[in-house]
Amino acid sequence: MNNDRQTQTDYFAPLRRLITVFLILVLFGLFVVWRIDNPRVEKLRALVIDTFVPNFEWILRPMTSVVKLAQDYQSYEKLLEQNKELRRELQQMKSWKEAALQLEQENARLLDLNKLRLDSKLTHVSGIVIADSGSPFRQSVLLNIGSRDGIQDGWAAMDGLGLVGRISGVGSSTSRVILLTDNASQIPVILQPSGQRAILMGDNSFAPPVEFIENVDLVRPGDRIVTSGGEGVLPAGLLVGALAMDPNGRLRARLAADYERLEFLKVLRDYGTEKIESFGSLLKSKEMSPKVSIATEPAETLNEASDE
Amino acid sequence: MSNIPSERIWIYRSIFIAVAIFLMLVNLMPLQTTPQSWPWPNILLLLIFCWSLREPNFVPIPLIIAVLLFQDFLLHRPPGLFSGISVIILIWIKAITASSDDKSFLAEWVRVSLAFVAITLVYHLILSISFVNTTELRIILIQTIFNISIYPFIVLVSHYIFRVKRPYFTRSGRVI
Repeated sequence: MNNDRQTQTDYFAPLRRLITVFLILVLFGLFVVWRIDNPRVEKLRALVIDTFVPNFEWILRPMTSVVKLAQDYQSYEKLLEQNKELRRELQQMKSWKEAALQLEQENARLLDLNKLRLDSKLTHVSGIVIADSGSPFRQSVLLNIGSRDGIQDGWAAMDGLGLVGRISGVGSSTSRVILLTDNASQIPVILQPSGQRAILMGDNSFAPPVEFIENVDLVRPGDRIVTSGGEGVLPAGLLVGALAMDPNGRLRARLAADYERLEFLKVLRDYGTEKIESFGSLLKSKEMSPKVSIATEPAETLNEASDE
Repeated sequence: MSNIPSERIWIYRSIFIAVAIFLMLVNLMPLQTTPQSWPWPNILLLLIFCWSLREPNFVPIPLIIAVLLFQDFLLHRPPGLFSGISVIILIWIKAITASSDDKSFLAEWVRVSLAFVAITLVYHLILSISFVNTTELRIILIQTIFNISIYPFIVLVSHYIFRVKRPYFTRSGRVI
């Protein structure tokens, strides 16, 4: 009986070994393909996540809530202290609220006077954070909105206050946000009020360093950091945070968004700024349309004006 | 081949898949959205090593490959690399264990520790060579130390809760 089994094993062993070797080759082949043709494999990854994660949301959500409940319980002990602090802050906020209301009304009146058309980038889609990256090496979160909600790669994700990250990887009902703290995140920013351009480079730490500042003498800790919108990366003027200096004298960003509790994110719709490619037809109209004599006249005057 | 009834093997395979999915979900819970300096150990990998050295039939290599590749995809790692290295080293450790005379737990722990260090270094090396530097050596080493120190607990849990125990090999590799 035992002998019989032994021969059976020997018969199957080479086949099993062959399958194993083949599968391992497939794994390394996949890595090489990923290295060469990244977007296609990342699309596959988005598909895998898109089919798996939403199916387990029913268990993921309660599990998360239970753990959060336990974490919150720890903070109950400091409740009294927190309450006092909040009261004080609320007092300050009330005066700010008053100021903000007045400004809002003034702003609305001025906009109305100007007949200003608001930029389409001000519209957004909100999503719930359903998962994080799951590994200590990547900083990203998964949202429950995807291409069926019109989400596209590269759009900006914000919490109530500041920029959180960029969309990178869209499935039909999920999308991944690469956070500003991720190693792969590099974002062109402007430091206000000096207007210096710089790049915010995530390095897997809580406060990402600000690199490549044009003139370091002009910036100071405490300066506001906003996105520059350079190279069409993100819309311009989104609040990122404030500049700060770490003990080693390196300039870092203290992020405005509350990374401790990323629960809801809003994704700004951004179809890019339209490029103006045609030359003014007015100036060219002289040669192009000889029939319309009336139209050429103002063009000529305009030409002269521009020559002067 | 062992004389374990095949229903039992299939039950354990499904238990393994369920545990793997559970561990991945725990990883994915949106609790750690800030950068962590103390990474979690890779419990799935520990479990794979522990079971493979006890009952290889419960975790056949194709199943391990599928689960690890899935983890690669979910945890945003370069797909295929970590799983490939892990499986090769796992097979190697299994071969060493089968041929070695020293069946004590200490010897197993030393072998597994070396395996984890090897996986970490090779993984980091290949990533550096191919210019995909998304892992910091510091964090990945801390994780490896965690993995090594937690291994005995995983073994205990497998032994007492999952009842995955060690078969005793003779010289020829047959099970008594």
